[in-house]
Amino acid sequence: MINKESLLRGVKAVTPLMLGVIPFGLISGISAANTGLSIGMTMLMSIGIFAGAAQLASLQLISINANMLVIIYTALIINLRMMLYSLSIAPHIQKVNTKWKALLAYSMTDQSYAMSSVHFMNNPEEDTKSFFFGASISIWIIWQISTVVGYLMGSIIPPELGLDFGIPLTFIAVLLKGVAGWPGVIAIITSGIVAVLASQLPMNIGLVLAAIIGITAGAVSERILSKKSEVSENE
Amino acid sequence: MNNTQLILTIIIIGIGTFLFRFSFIFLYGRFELPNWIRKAMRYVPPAVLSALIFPAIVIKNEVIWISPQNPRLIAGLIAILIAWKTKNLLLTIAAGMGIFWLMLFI
Repeated sequence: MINKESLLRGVKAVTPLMLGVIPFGLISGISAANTGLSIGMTMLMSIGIFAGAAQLASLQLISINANMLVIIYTALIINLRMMLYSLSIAPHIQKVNTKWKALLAYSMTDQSYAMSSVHFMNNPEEDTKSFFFGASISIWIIWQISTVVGYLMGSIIPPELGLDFGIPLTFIAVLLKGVAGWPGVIAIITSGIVAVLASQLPMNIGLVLAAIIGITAGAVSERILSKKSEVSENE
Repeated sequence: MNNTQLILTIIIIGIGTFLFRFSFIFLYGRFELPNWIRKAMRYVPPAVLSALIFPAIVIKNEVIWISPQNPRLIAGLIAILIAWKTKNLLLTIAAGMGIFWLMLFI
């Protein structure tokens, strides 16, 4: 059963982020139209993949007539981060049945994952299924609508507006909600630096590499800092 | 690329992406997870988001561009400051976009 209040809390948590999601959905629809995709194909992509960055990268590769395997590889390597989200959110929805797990997994985005995972850490009593679903499904609905609108009205939205910038802004907004003390700050800095430097590496491995190094840096520094405080307590 | 290839490409990416999302949500509880991994998971949101943010504001046309002339960098840094000080999601995005446009068009 869905707990209505928890669901609404999930919806409410991500509502401000729509300011960044909508422009990105528009861009995704516009790019699909510019690449020459039919509206049906655009929706197949938007519903079937439901991951903006990977969709945009695929569209760009389709438009330059890239090899099919290159497109698949690129989209999947961009989405590999979802496995980390899956591992991180799993304990919170362990008791949910498999059908719901599949639905929650399918509809999970960067934003709904990040907002939910932070919320669950601070509110252990929350009905996790309802909250997570509320957060994910509202982004899903808005994403599909803005993709269609972008597809249909693409020609009147000038590309110089840089609407894609909305997405890193939603990440920035969410980022500082979930910082877990100094180790969190160290994770952010390490991962950011590695991601920028590794973006020059081939095969798009920068993102996953940076994430794993950043997580490790956070965990290791947590260990070092807690040992230090133990030592100073014993003195 | 013809239509069949395109549909196939989308479906393969779709299934792969779903399997990534579902992987550990499905597997969790079926095996024992080492404690250090469980602890490290706390750093997934900051590390992954940061790895998404910084290339998006620092890199333009595949080149690192650190300069006060870079609108994404400046707007992004100010947004980080606003997010840190206010924790306000809407304000962070609105201000970031506003500063970005100001720098683009002035």
